[in-house]
Amino acid sequence: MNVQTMKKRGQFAEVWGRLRKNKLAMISLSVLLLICMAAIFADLIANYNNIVIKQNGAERLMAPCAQHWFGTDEFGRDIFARIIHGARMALLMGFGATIISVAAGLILACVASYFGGVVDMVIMRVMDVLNSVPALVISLAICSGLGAGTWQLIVALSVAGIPIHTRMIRSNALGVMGNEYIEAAKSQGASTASVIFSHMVPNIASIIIIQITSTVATNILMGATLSFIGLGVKPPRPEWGLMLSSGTDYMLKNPHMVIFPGIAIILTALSVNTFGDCLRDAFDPKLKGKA
Amino acid sequence: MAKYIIKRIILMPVTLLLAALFIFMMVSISKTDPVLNMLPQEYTQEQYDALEHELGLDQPMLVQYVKWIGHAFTGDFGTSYSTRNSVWNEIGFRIPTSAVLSLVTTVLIVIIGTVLGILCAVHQYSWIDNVINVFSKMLSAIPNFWIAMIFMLVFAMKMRVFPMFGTGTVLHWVLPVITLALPGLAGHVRITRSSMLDCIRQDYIRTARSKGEKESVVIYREALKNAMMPLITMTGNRFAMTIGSAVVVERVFALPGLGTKVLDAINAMDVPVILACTTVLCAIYIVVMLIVDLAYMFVDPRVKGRFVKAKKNKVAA
Amino acid sequence: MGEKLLEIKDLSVRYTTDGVIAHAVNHVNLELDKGEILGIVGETGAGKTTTALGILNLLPRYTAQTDGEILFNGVNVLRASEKEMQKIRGEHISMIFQDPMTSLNPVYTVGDQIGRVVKIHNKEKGKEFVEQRVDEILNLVGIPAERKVEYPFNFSGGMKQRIMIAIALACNPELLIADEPTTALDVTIQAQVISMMRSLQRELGTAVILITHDLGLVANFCDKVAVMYSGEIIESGAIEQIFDSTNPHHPYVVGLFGSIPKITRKTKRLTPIEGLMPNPASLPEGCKFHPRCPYCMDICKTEEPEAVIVNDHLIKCHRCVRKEEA
Repeated sequence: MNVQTMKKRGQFAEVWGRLRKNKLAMISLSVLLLICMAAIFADLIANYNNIVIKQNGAERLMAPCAQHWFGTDEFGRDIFARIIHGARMALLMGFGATIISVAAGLILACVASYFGGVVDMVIMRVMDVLNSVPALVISLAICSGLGAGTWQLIVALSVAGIPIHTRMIRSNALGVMGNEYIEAAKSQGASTASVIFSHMVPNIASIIIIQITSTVATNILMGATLSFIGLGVKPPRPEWGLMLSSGTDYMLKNPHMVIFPGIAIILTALSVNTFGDCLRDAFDPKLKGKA
Repeated sequence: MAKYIIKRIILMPVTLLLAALFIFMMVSISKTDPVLNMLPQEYTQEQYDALEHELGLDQPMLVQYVKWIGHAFTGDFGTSYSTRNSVWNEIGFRIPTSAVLSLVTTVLIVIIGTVLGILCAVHQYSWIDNVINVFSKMLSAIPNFWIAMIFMLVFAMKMRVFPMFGTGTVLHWVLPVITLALPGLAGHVRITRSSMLDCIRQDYIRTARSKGEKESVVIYREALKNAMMPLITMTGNRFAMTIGSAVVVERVFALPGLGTKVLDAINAMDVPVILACTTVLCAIYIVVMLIVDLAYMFVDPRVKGRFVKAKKNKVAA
Repeated sequence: MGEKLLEIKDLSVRYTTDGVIAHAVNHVNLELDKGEILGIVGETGAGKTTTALGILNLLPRYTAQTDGEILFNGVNVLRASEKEMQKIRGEHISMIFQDPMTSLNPVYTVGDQIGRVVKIHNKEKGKEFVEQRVDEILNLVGIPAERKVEYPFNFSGGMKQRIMIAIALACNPELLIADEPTTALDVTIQAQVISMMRSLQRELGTAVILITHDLGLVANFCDKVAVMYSGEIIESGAIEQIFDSTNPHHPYVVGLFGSIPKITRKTKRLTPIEGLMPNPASLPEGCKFHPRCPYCMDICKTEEPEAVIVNDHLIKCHRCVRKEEA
């Protein structure tokens, strides 16, 4: 373990310390953890086959009541249960797609900045082209190619996110590359992979972490949007965007159908965003200083 | 400098072609066979082959791509699989709707967002700043289609102040533009604020104050011009996001734009229409980005300086 | 005798951030006559820049609290209104900052930036007056006037600092504060900038406060010196007094002189002063220097030394007091 890595480990402990003192950070983190718990233990709270997707004509379109906390939808399914299970989808889309884009972006950026020259140019040109297509349009194109469905959605979201991450990580990685300890490591015979992983990555780790949090929120929203327009998850799966889409037809007389899934999306995105902001402040408290 | 501008203008169609290639590749992966969709229930192999040949689908993908590009240059985007109409007839009239929606919204976002952002930066940590901050954070977390639905529910259905669907009068545009603008506004305010704050912290601001400048001059003359630079580039990004979100907003409010068309086309696997719509959307974006980049070049003296020879070279002190 | 241009009386500055209070400047007293050149010497963090910013009342509004008085021509600038300060800044007191690379606004021309300070303080005069003055002052600092349409990035570090000097002197201020004006420059450029400042000072009769950590610079340029440590002035006096080794001196000052490498003598190692300056948020009891002082006595750890003044030579040290008494 070299000095730089040791410094980074100490830095993370410091950041966590600052986070713990920040009430807003702790609240948003708790909300996030709650949502994660809901996602993980969804099956315990409500049985998938019996409650979430089984249609029950007798109980359709009920307003919120004791038996159905959030009411029922047009097929008589309990909305609360569907929202809990929907958390799974949301987090899967949010975190799954993000991790893939960031990982891909990380590899591409490090390769581009380490090798430089032609490799760098080619990678960045490809990213430029991808960047010239608005994100949603990329997702539309991929969804039309792959069809609608869960994994297709994740692929679409991941690909749409790659150019942004590659760019950002690369510009930070270039800054790191200029540092002398990289040259020192190379001159001591360190292999390419070892230089990349043990020197570059820890230094851009803080940037990556912050990028992850902002992208997760974007992906949750984009995923819901794509499902809303019918290109994402397919019914009868419980997904918040999908629930909103089918709720549109009934919303005049049954507003509960659009209110609760909407709040679920908002709450999740908000807590991720807020935690991301607090994280950014914790990594660099100087930025908070007054002008 | 003219050389640089020309270079950028030439690069533009190249980028567009590559973007179109990407979209073409993605769409080609589809497992749905459009030929099958267009044939009656019972068909013969000959009919299949004939139709496939007619549509040009029996050729390798790159050949199809090149042919499509060739036709596209002359304005011929092919024939829609669903309606058997010329694609241009289907989408041509929709372009102004989408373009106007996105452009008007972006302009609105930039103007209001910049004003609010400066306000927040100057009164950092005051109640104005806090309130706007909280609102921005919340708005960023709300999907625009949800805002669209709630607005429609409240203003169009219940209060009947605005019409629900279609175009025709200015009133028809109010809800879609506001829906589209709100989340973008939130982001823009925050970026303007942080850009201004960065500038206010710089050393040259301290120099300006030490000259005896009034605080308002320090902010609106010295800091603002510097803060504007990154914001111009951000406007381009904002426009891209707006184009994307516009697709959904068009669908919710049933506006006759490219967005609604492309969604229908995806559902029906109407490939020529999909290709045409997405390519046109990309084209709009690329052109706007070019204008933004050129504008930036004219505004930032450091960038201008790279392309215009300085009168004298640097002389040692 | 000349009436006092500047009197700093018992100045203390505290910074409060996140509940932590840093005592940056503690009970500082300074005086300056018209046309005098005062050098303030000290390590980074000693409080020199804070004192300088205090004179211009440019300390951060929300985090800094000040006690004491700073009288400029009899007016207490610490309690003056912002409007009054704006009249003083640039015209009566001006400042040159440490880093010329970042102190100029990159998006306005050099002529524009110099012109601003002239315009602010000469609102009645027209454009020609401003332009003329800009040309004059640029020539004075050795930059051809035609270059006023260029942007800061066209100039090198030394030239940028000269532009800063031009801005500072454009309105003929009575007091110029130069905060480490040559620290960010090459040694050769340093000499040129300093010699230019010296000739300008002679010509215009400006009083100067030169903040630096370079004793050689002080010896060359200043009339009197004040040495700051941990926000306090621990020794001050005329140049001849401070640089005279037969006089008693504060142990810190002895250490400063001792740590200058001497090219005329063979030495195996340099003799730095052991330890570091204390954290302004947690200052030690008694004499602030006692943890590092080789002559530390018991009284130093508990009691703050009084300032003893002999012939305008001030020292704040228990040991020096004893010596005087003895």
